[in-house]
Amino acid sequence: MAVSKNKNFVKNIKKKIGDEARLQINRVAREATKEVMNGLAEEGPVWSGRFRDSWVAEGKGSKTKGGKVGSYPYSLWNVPKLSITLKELNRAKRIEIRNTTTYAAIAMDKEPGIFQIKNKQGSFITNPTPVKNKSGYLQRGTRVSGLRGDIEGGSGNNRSTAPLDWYKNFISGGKYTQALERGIRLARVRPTQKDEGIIK
Amino acid sequence: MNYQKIRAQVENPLLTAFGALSPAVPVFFDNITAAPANSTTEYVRVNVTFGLTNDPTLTSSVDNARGAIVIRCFSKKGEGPARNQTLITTAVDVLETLNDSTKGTTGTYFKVGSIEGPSFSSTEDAPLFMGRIETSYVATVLS
Repeated sequence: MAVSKNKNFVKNIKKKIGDEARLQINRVAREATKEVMNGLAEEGPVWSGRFRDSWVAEGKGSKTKGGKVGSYPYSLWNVPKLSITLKELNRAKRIEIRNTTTYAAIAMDKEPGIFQIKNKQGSFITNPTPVKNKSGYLQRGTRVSGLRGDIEGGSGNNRSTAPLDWYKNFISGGKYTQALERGIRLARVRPTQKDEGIIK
Repeated sequence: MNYQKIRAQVENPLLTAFGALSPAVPVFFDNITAAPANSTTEYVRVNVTFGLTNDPTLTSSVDNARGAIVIRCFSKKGEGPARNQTLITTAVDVLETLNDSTKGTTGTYFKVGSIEGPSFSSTEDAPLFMGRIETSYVATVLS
């Protein structure tokens, strides 16, 4: 009887430690995702704010519970809750961040595009003021290649609110890594009790 | 910081390589006005961006920088991808050669990461066919 109790005790402790470790991994993943989404929103172009508010985190795997679609600044509510089963933890790709706007590739300088803003009624706005104008970055001039950020100085009326190749620079220039590190630190110092992202 | 020395590491060999093509292809770097808008003649656009860097006051003599290199090759539209692929191959060869350098005690040590692409795009409005490759880099200026 005593042996059986001891066995259960050890088994329970092991399970408790295992679950706690897995929860911590999920906290790190979710906090890091949130920080990356906010980093992308801050670095990218902001005219109407639609592109900035269209970053979504999509959980991969069968047992994820979708995060709510939100807007900048993003919170943990916008990041899906993840399963803590071993099978799901071993998944190579657990969360995917993407932008849902149809012109995301243009805004990320991957493709050339047409640059006109429509109002709610569907007609083109002739001289709109970008949201990001207030925070400082605004290039003016001639758009040479048809790319969003390829603005040369001069007498053109084209404008961009984020530098050319801001996305690639965010990923390769160190800010992406910084956002991940910030997420890891936040997960360590802020273990939430209500929102632990558990699905058993 | 030694931004100019870092730029030179990638810009000089690209300029030489594209200049050696027949016909030579003009290369435009940051803050140099590229071909006029709606140009229909081929050209190459090279953008070197800087991400996080350290300052000489933190370390006595070394500058470290990392960032991205994006190379866009524009060629005539409606004439197939062959010419554009030639331009892309030239750029890839240069980037791969940069990784052959060894770290010495002076100069600039420059390494690029994996090369992403090429991706090609041609829209109705854009006057040229575009091929694009991108990579990350780390650079250390030794002095």
